[in-house]
Amino acid sequence: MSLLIKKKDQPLVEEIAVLIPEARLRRRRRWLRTGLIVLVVSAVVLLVSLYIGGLGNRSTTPPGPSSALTQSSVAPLPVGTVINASSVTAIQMFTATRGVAIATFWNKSFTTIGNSYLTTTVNGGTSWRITGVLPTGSWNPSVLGGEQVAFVSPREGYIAQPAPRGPLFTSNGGRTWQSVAFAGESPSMSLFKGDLVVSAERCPTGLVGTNGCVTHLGSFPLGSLTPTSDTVIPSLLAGSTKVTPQVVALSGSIGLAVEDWTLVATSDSGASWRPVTNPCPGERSDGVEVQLASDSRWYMLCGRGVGMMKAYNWLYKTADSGRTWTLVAQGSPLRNVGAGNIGPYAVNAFGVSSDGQEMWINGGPGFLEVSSDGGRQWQFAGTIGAKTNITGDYFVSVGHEVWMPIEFGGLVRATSASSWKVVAESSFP
Amino acid sequence: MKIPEVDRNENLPLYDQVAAEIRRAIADGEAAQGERLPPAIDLAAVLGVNKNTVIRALHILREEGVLDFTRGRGIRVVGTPARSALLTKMNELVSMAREQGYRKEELASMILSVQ
Repeated sequence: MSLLIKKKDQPLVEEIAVLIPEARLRRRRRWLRTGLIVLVVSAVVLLVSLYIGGLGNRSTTPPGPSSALTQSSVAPLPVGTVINASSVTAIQMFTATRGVAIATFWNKSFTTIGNSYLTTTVNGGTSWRITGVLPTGSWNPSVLGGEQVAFVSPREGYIAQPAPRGPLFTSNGGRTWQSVAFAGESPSMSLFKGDLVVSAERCPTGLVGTNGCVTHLGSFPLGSLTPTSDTVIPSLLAGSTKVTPQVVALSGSIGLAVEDWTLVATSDSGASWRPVTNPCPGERSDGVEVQLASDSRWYMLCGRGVGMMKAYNWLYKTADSGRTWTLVAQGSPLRNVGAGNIGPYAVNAFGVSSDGQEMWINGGPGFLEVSSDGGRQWQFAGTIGAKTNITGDYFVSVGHEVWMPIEFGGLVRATSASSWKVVAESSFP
Repeated sequence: MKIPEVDRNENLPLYDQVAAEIRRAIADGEAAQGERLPPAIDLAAVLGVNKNTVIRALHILREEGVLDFTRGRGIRVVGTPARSALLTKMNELVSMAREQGYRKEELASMILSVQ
């Protein structure tokens, strides 16, 4: 038997000190840690870029409550994208610098609409920032005129859209949209103390101007999707079954409609209507352009003729809501010939400042006529851009600032009473 | 396995202790001739000292001919511990000769005359 004497607390095997292998091990761990961090960061960046870039399920596309509101097959531009004014098709300005607009992009063949967006500007319309996407097909600027955008702020408001869809409402700058239950052709909208007043023509055959058409006027409290009132503009013509009254002006609770040769007006958002004297000479008054400068001061351009041959030769004004009219100017069908001439063949847009002193007419092959004395004297202010036949549908004014969206996209703006500049022209041919 | 440590209470400077640890590691075969040493930051982490202390120690070992610094290729082991030990002794001999009034040339001739 052998005896092994072991000292207390003495290790049986001497521990070997290692320096370099341990340092190498630490280097490997450091590299692994760094690689793991790089991998995680890359994955996060990739996911974020997919989310923002639109390849993922983006919350910026409007879901819409209706299954009919489908998305475009073309990926929409992301929210936040800044675009120029060449795609602007309808605008509403709050101040000289701030406003909202619908911007529409056409496909390569210019046959159908690509994507449309709600945009905002803070520089008077020079550039526009996308805040939301419209459901595809909800906006067709080629068939719509003015009064198609009604917003109380850049985030909250309505847009009109052709039948069979009714207006759309958003409360978050266009990120999501809700359908408003008020369908019809030729929609026109107006805001009155924040409430929406909308008119639309409903026809059994779907064609405006055919037998059985009726024009409805609805009123919506802001944010409401169903009307608190839905009235039919009554026909004042005995035995008339074909032509329904057409809304020619809508501002706040004031509305003016023309039925064949008869004018009717409402001052309570369509709850009641009364006949209004029509001052225009001629056999038909369907060629009227009316601007409501205030509740009681209205201006009316009267046309005679058909289509492009229609001549707007008379300008009237009323200060008592249409009870009495005064002839302001009478002119030749040829534009810019002598004092008092106010327009040639057709008037595409007629605008009046809130004080009634400045007036603008866009007509004919893209020309602009302006007046600074309440419509008595008119002068030729030039044509819009280099292309011919560029027209707009309506003027937008805030104080002395005036804009006019160009048909199919683009924007012109007044730089003075008689000088205009093209902010951007459409790329539409 | 024991992780080597430096003694902060010892009179020997930290960089000399670190140099000694690396010298010992090479002598123990932890890194063969021609092999690359781990980065100074990892050696410092193992020894529990600052990276600059390790770098200073590595410079000492380069002066001794144990290590070679080449840009882009890291720090490689080029000398053996035996050579390192001999160099250390020679340094001591040169210092002693200087204290006794002998110059390097005289010391060299004295070494050559040794049979």
